[in-house]
Amino acid sequence: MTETLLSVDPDAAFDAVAHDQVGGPYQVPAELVRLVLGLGATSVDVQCRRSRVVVDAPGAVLPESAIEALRRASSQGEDVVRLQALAALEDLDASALGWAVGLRPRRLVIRSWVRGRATILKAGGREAFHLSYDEGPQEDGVFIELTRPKLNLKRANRWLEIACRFAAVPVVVNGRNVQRDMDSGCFRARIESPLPAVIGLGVNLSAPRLWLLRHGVVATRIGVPNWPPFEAAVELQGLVQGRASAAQLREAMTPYLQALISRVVELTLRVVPRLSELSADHRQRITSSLFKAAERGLALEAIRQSPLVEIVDSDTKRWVSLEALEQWPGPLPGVLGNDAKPGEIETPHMLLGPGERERVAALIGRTLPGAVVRPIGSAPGLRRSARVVLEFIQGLLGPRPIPDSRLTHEERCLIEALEGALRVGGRPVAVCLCPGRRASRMSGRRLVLARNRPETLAAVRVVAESPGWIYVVAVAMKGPDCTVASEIRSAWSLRNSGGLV
Amino acid sequence: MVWHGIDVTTSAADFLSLAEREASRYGGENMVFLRELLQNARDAGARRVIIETRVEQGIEAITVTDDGRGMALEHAQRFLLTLYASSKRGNADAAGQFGVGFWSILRFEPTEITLRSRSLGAEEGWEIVFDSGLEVRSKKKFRMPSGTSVRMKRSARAGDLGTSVWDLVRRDARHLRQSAPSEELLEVLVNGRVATESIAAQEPGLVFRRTGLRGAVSLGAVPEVILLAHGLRVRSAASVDDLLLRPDRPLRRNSRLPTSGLSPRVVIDSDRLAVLMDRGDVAQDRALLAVARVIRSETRRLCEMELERLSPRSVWRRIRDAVVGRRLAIGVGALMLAGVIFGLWGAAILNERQSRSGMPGPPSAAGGLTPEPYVDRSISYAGPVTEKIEGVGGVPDLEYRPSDQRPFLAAFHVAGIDEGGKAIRSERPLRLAESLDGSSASSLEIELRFLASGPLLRLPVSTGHVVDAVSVQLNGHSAKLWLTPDDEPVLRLDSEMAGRVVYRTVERAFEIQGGGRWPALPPAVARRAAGLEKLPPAQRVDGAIKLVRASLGSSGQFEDLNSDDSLPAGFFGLIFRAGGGDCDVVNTVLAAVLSEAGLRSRLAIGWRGAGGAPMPGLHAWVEVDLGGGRWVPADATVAIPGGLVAPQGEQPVELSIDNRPEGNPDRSLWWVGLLGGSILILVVVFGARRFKTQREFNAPGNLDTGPLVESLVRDREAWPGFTEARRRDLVPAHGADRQSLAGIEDAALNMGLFVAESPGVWVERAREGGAMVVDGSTHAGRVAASEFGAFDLDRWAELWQRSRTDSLCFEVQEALLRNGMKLDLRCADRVAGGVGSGFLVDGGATAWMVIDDDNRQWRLCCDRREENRAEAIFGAVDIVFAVLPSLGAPAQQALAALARDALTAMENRPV
Repeated sequence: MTETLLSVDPDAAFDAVAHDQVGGPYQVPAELVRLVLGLGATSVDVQCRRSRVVVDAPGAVLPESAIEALRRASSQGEDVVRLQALAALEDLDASALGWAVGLRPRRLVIRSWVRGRATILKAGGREAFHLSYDEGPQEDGVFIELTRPKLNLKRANRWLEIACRFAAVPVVVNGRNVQRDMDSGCFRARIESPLPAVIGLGVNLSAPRLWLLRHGVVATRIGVPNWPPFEAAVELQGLVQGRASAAQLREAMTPYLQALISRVVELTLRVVPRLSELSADHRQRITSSLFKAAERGLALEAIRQSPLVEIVDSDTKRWVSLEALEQWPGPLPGVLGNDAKPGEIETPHMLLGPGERERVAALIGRTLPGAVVRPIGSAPGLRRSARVVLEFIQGLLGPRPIPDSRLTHEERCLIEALEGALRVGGRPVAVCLCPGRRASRMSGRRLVLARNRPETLAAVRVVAESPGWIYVVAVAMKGPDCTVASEIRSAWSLRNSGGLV
Repeated sequence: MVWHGIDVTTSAADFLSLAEREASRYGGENMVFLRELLQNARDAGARRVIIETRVEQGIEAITVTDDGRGMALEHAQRFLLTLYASSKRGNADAAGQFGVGFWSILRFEPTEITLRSRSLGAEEGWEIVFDSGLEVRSKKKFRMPSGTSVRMKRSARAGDLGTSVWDLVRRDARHLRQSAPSEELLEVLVNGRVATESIAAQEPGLVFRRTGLRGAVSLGAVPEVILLAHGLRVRSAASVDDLLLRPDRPLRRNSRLPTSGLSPRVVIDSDRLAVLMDRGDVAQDRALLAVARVIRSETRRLCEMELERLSPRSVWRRIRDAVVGRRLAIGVGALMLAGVIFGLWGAAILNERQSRSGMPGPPSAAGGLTPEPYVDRSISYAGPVTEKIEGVGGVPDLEYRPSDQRPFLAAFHVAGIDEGGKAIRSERPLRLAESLDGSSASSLEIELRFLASGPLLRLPVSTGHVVDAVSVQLNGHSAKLWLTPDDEPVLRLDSEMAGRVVYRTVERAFEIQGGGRWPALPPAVARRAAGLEKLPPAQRVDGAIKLVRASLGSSGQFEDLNSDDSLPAGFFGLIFRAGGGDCDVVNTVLAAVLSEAGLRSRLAIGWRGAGGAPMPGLHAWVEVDLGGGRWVPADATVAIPGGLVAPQGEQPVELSIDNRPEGNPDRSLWWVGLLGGSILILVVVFGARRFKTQREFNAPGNLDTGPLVESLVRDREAWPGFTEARRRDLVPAHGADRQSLAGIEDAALNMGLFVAESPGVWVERAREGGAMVVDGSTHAGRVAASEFGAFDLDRWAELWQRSRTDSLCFEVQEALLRNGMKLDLRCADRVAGGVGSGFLVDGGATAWMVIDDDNRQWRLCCDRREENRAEAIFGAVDIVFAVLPSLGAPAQQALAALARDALTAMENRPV
């Protein structure tokens, strides 16, 4: 039997192609930009005004076969020929031209300059394309002019801004470059493996967000929950066919996700040495991102060994690794939110952001205690103020400090050692000796010691003999608001106690 | 095939090439054609689709049969067998419309395709069999029920075809619905198993439905949004933001939703989404934005509901939240209500205040006009025939109290008119008014500034009142009051003068001497007026007013009035012929009718009082004696059809014959209307919002707050209403109600947070010391304990159990006790961290501690104790401080004292 019941509706085919593959006619200008970027444009200038879209792309070269296919796709051709031409355009990754034709523009002009020779296609309404040629000293490039009412240019402009924000070359829409950087306050990197992509880590994300591009123009977007956050613009043109849909792009991206996330973790780890230079927000984003990665088993060893936890002790800050925390001798430093003011807390403490504490605790297998909140000047406000005033009056009425020239060498050593050991509000304390036998007292930020008091005499002698004893001296003589630097205590208890060891 | 004059038939090979090309758009899933066939069945009105797979003799076959409307062969040729042609294009209810979906069956790589269909109402169906190259192998008529069947065969392949079919239907068409108007679930049977089910939410979850949209959102471990169009899956994404390619909105913090712990899992089905040709995406249009908004709002609602379920607010809290949450609506409502109240009573209150403070009359009463000195206009008024009186629109400088009364202040009276319409004046001399005896229920204090151009000054007096002669004060002095022949109160002045007169009028029955002469009425009117005489006086006045309105309104009730012969000559003839006139004209007729009905009456001309002052514009009314000298006002000028209007500056006033002033009915109605309208708007706006979406909240029976707490802890920035959530009591605690995260955080900051799986002695000790002990046997308790660093009492109890005391421990305890701190100190080996462990309560006043006696420092202290006790004790206490850095001031003082002891001992040691 040779009967055929099958046929093709070419008009409907064009409608389907023009309207149903894209979200609407407003997306066609962005698709034209994608086309010229794919053709090698060095820059793109788009004018989108008054029912007219002009795309001027120097450097782009439209192949002769695309021009020929476009000519055949005109409405005067036979149905099968037109559809074959349409297929040819898709195969040449020039679907946008087919979509432009499918819009049935009032006027469509395509001018392609190659080595000083221009091929010009012009059409209007349902007329066939008129092909002409020109010659001149013009550089290579493609010029597309599309005039069509009801193109919704406002929306088209907006869409151009969204779609072209990650373009590799400048895309100027109505005089404004629409390239935009991604949210990348912590770092930004261009990678080629596992896929060509630009990666950024900012502070506003909670999970990876991937913009999938074809020829530098956004095609779709995917999010990957429960992984360390980052933003990436991934170029997939080399991975998929030219006519791949957004769904197919997402599908194509899936096998590379794990590798991409691992790469981002690797890049994030490279930022760790610069943590102290970053703002608190950025620091927290990087550390929480790495904690999350470690939680998911990504680069676990590297993360465990990286100094990611900031520990503040008086006025000193240092970064320790999870491994160090795991093996921390004695009780762990207390945890404080990383927005706390330095010097507010008396004892050593670690700064962790929201949600980090539980992750770190799980990673090191230890409970993290709370920080000891003992603000400097823990006495009630009135009492403290009264004491300051009293200390000031005592300072005025009390004996004058003994001049440095009249101090013995041992006394100067004691003063120097005490000034290095004591802190008030994270700042050093001045120490002076006065005549007399009164008890030591604070006067503002100054510790006043009575020279002839037995404790002072003992301190001078003990410190001269065993410098490690400065810790005991400092504890004995410090004022209520003073703290003793933790390294002083360590020096006494572990190495040079003199009395104990 | 010729169609529209064009030969569009093509060869099977060309068709196959194009169709395969289109089929490749649907991605890598080879069974994708099932979705397209189910979509076609749905659009054809099917209620059931049966999918059967069979493998026999190395051939596997799949048959998809629906019970829809089917199609005639011509229809099939025109659309199904014509690539890109679709009978559904533009049909919003149809799921498919591209004209290519059917040919995705080529992805099955069939060796044979059998199409069968019988359209609804047709006697028989048809069958076409294609081979693998789409050449027609056979074509014949076929008997079958209405519907369509597609059967494909191919060589058997690896894998179970039935399982693949099941999986695909479950993934892409699990919630497939019938087409409108039914929208019931479309039953899809795969080898006898029902594969479709309604959209449901896991617990906790929310199933919602609104026009064109239905879905479910639940809170689970992994976030996911599954987007359906007409019940068929389009795409899935991790979050609603991933559906949108708009970078600005998703970056707003308040648009984020939780992604860990409790993450939203959404299935949403919209009829309005524009599915793109590749079937894997939708257009970025308003419908998608609307879907995204619904997803966000329903997720937030679910979070709120779940929070409310797990930790209900108190009644007062709900009221407060309701007030705060709707403060805009409440504010607008309050403003509207205030406007209504002011409109109804505000002016009266204002006037009252102004009258009490002695301020001039209110602008509302004066209509914004400046009061002018009162002038006696009786001389210039010749009668109703006069077209205009000078100064008719002005307002006299008169104030009265109490200002809440609305008196009819008559400036002068007309007791009768002649046939020509001129007022009849009595020529009798004035007589001296007498002072009044007794009391009265109603009186008015009137203050009048006047400008007199003649020897007489008539005083305005409220209808039904008489002036108390002894109350009259002219420019601060008592003055004699006289009465005109028509019983009008009048002052005799020596010369032209301006001044101020104050007097009091009292409601009192009184008789007048003259008047009552009115021209003859038309006979028909007179006859009916006379007929009123048998009614009681009050009803007689009502009847007279109706009679005047009817006779002057040309309503057609008095046919005889239409004949000029029946009309009298003169003024009344003119009036009845014209069908109306000004207020004095109409009320002159009323006075005549009342007189005919046997009631004494006179025309009064003056002002209506409101708010303590006269309203602008002179007005005329009738004073009628209801018997016994009880005079009341009557007015026939209100709402008279036929052109009679109220005087300038005054709204028409409906008078009641019992002289009870009424509110302005039109104005009141306006305000009542506004109030009602406002309430209606509020009901519609809020009611519509509330009831537009139908919701069903599914919650698990248990009250496990663990996942919620975990989500709050891990993803606090993304949680909608986190601040509110952290105040709710969600974490179980020992010996107390559940605790909020905020309370737990506070406790942790104050070193008062503990965790234990079960109650025990240590839990009691901690609680007695003012600490909080969360329940570690619950998920929520474990998460909170870990997040806030709670001290583990279970591990502590175990440590304490195996600890022991030694002499150094005793000495340290004693040393601290001397400084006011109670520490229970023990030693043990293998203490976590290698130094010690302990905790304190009561702000550091009481503490327990176990020191690792393998600790080098501790051992040194023990060893040095014999040699230098002070140093050893200081060193031991220093270790205690290292373990419990949060010890309080007494311990610090103790340490300082011990340091001094150590120094002294060092000083005194033998050299």
